[in-house]
Amino acid sequence: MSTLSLPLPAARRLAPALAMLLLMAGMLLLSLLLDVASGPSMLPLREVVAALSGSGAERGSDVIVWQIRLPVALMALLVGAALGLSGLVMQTVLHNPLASSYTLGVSAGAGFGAALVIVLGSALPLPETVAIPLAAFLFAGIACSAVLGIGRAKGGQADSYVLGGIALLFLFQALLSLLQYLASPEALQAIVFWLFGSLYKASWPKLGLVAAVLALCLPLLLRDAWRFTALGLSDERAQSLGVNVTALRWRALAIVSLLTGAAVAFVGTIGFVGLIAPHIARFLLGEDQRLLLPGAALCGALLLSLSSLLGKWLSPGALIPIGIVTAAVGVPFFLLLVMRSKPGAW
Amino acid sequence: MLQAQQLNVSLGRQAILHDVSFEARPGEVTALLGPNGSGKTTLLKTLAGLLPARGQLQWQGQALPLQRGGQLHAACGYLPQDCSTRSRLSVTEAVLLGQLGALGWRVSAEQRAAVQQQLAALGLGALAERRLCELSGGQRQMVFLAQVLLRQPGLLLLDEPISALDLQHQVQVMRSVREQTQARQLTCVVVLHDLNAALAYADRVLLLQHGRLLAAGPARDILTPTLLAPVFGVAIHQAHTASGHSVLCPHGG
Repeated sequence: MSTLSLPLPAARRLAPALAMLLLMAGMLLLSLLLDVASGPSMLPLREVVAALSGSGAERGSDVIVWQIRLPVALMALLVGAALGLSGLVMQTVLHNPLASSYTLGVSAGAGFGAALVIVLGSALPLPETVAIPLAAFLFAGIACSAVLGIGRAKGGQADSYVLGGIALLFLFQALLSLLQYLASPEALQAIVFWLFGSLYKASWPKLGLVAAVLALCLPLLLRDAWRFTALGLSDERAQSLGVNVTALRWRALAIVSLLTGAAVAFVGTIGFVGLIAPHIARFLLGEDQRLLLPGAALCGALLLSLSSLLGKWLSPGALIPIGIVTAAVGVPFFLLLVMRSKPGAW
Repeated sequence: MLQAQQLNVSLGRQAILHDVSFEARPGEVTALLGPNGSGKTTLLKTLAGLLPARGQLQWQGQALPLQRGGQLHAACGYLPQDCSTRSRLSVTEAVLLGQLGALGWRVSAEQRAAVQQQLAALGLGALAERRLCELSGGQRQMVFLAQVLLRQPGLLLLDEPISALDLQHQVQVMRSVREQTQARQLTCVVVLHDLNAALAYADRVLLLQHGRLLAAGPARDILTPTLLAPVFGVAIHQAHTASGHSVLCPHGG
């Protein structure tokens, strides 16, 4: 058999996949512009572009774009990207299509940390604006460490991490319920609003921090892209290719805790994006993690940006928490994915 | 050459291997035989560096670390027994992973050509664009063998590579293994259940029972009814074909 006559599918598929990534990036840019243009006072797109480029927009539009809407729209992008990435990494290293920081207790841990600060309130030496994100970060890390610890204690098998994560989810939900039961009416209201997830807590310094976390985590994950692709075959197969699976899993989940902490710390708990974005990316791009990692980040960003847009269009002038929109869109979408999947795909 | 001295392996509190010592030589296929639960896979994983063990393991005169496990020795190509996967990677992409340590963001023309050659060598060219999850168990096993061979290992460790294959593919795989072993002077240790495959393709045999090495030596010396019958618990008859080959079969079979 002539070896030269064989096709080169790995090479051939790279070009359309890169085109797909570019298309997603283009859609994301459009969604960002529409998100910035939308609000109680609709701005024409050319006014938005003029304000963004600093070329002669009205002063009012300039303030609306730069001070109010752009931080919120960018926060949707960055948080969506962080959630999409963390969901993909969890699904890959735990071999479970239902894994995400939301379903395995990491977001619940962060939510509990934030609620704890809200209830303790003035007893803390730090202002709430600093203490809430800090506690969310801290408890996301604690939750992820606990998932890692439980999994490792049970021999490092993927299933044990998942079961540990589900147990943690219930634990943090129970603790959260206890806090809500004990909280004053004002604190209870603050907790509930925080837990819904809202992009309107965005500000430029917060954006900078989330961007820095993403800028740190994405290259670290891309460095392991081939190892993640190998891990997609199975633990044993990845080991047979020279991957230290336990070390990779620890490294990956540490990054997940950073990404989730950054996302939840500033906008609250947002479900379904981390669960669905990886599935869409996988459907569009295949399982090569060189493409899938940026793809999941772009899908997550696009999903949250579109959810933000949808929230504004559904109820102009009212601030519908983004977590409610993502759940409303995410549940039917997720069911569609389940119904369309082939037997055994889950 | 691979030299194992007094390997002891425990999983939890259960001792699986006891004082296993042997040598495997370059250019030879060494078959690892024994009944289910005798410790064959455990021994193979230990040789690969995936399980922690006590004792000494030397490859080409250099000691290999044994204490920690979890990390494949660099010289090893290891083919696990379980070939199930839900991955939707194409066959080409999967085999490409055999060069994992050398892969960068861009896959070079040489790396792609190496994949093609390996697929062609095992007669898998027609499957190049098929997805792994669409293949039969036997086809997947062949693809994973191509993946392992692409690593260009000095030490080839294969765990039941032909158990899931039809007769034609069994012959094809074992011939390839033997040819590659001789051509590249690999040291090959292969777990087999088929005594006749061992007789046909192995130079040496290690016979395990209850985690202990019962016998080791040239295949024709070890694969005898006298040694095998008590180990497997069945009477075994050895016949000779007109062409002079030996065949082992259970009595009454």
